[in-house]
Formats: sequence, structure tokens, C-alpha cells
Amino acid sequence: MTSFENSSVGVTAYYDERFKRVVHKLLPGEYFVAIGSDMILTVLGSCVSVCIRDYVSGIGGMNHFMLAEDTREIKSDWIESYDMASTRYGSNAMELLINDIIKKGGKRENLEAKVFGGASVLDIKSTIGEKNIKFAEEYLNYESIQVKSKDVGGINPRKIFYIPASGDVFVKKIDRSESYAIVEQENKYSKKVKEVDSDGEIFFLD
Amino acid sequence: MGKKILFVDDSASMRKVLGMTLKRSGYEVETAEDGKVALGFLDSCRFDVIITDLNMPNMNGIEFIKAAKAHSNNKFAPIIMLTTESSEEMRKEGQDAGAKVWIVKPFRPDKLLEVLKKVIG
Repeated sequence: MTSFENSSVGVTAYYDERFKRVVHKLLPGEYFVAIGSDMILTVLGSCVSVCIRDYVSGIGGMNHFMLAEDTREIKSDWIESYDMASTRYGSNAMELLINDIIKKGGKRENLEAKVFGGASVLDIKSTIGEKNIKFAEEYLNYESIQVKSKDVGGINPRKIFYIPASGDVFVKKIDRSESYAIVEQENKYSKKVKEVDSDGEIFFLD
Repeated sequence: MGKKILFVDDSASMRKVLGMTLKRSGYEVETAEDGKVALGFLDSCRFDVIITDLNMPNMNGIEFIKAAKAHSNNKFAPIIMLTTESSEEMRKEGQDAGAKVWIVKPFRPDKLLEVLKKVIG
């Protein structure tokens, strides 16, 4: 088992009086597929969240990840950089979400996406956010999943509310003065991502 | 002649990554997006190894392995599972269906090539 991996285990949920529905709160490195009219919430700095759903059945979910900083640049076609731990980690974050949607009854040919995040909050000159967004968009392009809308880049963190059943997303920009906690959380996560051994186990079965 | 590999995965980017990795190492590769499409290849071709994902639409990896193991052309082809699933329960299911190796995604391309060498020489 890798020391740290994308997971849907341990995502916390609460009932929100204002939205009148159950809200699942995603932390960096998590993903979640919602049932019924449930909502998924996350707070993004330079990380990216991809919201994907089957627009016919309304089954869908969200992930929240970033690519580790690497000594090498990701090639313009990320497929050529799959030998890099950061792209393997990113593509796994995407595949886990898509797999879970399909397992719960979504159809691959009906999937549509919305992309959020990738702000420059850690450092205005940093390109981490940009890199995360570019990867997510290229991944979706390869998988022929249409991007219906996006709100990316800039310098403000974002709070994202997603209802897969309807596809609705509410985005709340967060003031930079309030971004300290977000930056701290992302720093912690980015350290973990850097240390992750994104090299799955191999089992010989006989 | 390079050894022939059938790779089954519903993710287009995975098919591209693996197709590229294997071709560069001199293997001949056919790809399919699910078990059902892959079955079509079994009639016309004998493969040296089959690599398959588990979670796929139409026909999943386990169902496909069972069908391949019952196929006169390809019942002896060693099968490698390449999947995000890692539970012991799932691995047991794969083993019972006839899989020889279970690789958990994300995989390192060089490690996969090492496994292939072990499996087909």
C-alpha cells in the first residue's frame, strides 16, 4: 500500500440547513461520488477539483488533487511523461473518480466535466496552479469528456459547492487575507504528495 | 516478430500510455476499450499475453478473463490485471478467474516491462 493515496474513505458529511441537503466535505487528496441530491464541497487554492457526472443519470462526483513539483517539466503531451511520479499521481486521481462513477451506475459516454481551482495562492509567481489545470484539461481531452464550464487561475482561493444530480456548481471566491489556513493545508498536502511513492504494488498470483 | 499483447482498458489515456510503452519495447499491441470489444480480437488472433483493467463498462475485467480462458485460441495466454483495485478479496477473484499477475495502478512503465519479461521471456 502506498503511504498516501487518493481516497474516498473518511470524507466527512453533515446536514446543511441553508442548502437543505447533506454536504460531503473533500480535503486535498480525496474524491467522492454522491448519491441522490447530496452536495460536495471543497476549498481550493492552487489545487484542482474536477467535477464529473453522467448528465443522464445524474451520478457524479468530485476529486481534489495537485501534481507534485518535479525536477523535470511535464512534456507538452503528458502521456509522454507518464514515467514521472506527478503525472501518474494525477492520472490516478482522475481514474479513481471516473471508476467510482461507473461502478455506481454512470455511463462513460454520458460524462461531462467542470474544472475549478489552480489559483496562485502560495506564491503569485508560482506556476503550480497552472500546471494542475493544464493536466486536468488535457486528461479530460484524452478521455473525450467535455468540459462544460470552468473557473480557474487568478490569485483568490475558491470554495466550490457541487450538486452532481443537477450539475449545478456554486463558486465563492475567498479573500486572500483569509487564505492563510488554505495555504497551510495545501503546503501540508503538497509535502505528502512529494513523498508519495506512486508506484502500485505488484502481486504474482500463483 | 515481436510478441503480441492485447491491452484492455476503458481509459483512452491509459491505452495511449501503455500502447506507447509496449511498442517502444518491441511488442506488437492491440488495444480494446472493454471486455466485449476485446473478445472480438480473440477470434482472429493468438496473443502471447493479455493485460486488462478491471472496472470497465459492458464487460468487466473478471468476466473478460473468464471468457478468454474458455477461448480455444487464447486459453493459455498469461493474463496480467492492471487496475486501481488492490483489495485481497478482488485479487482472489482475479486469481480464481485465471489472472497470473495483479498490478495496482498507478504503475511504473519500467516495472511493467520487467513483469512482462518474467511472464513471457
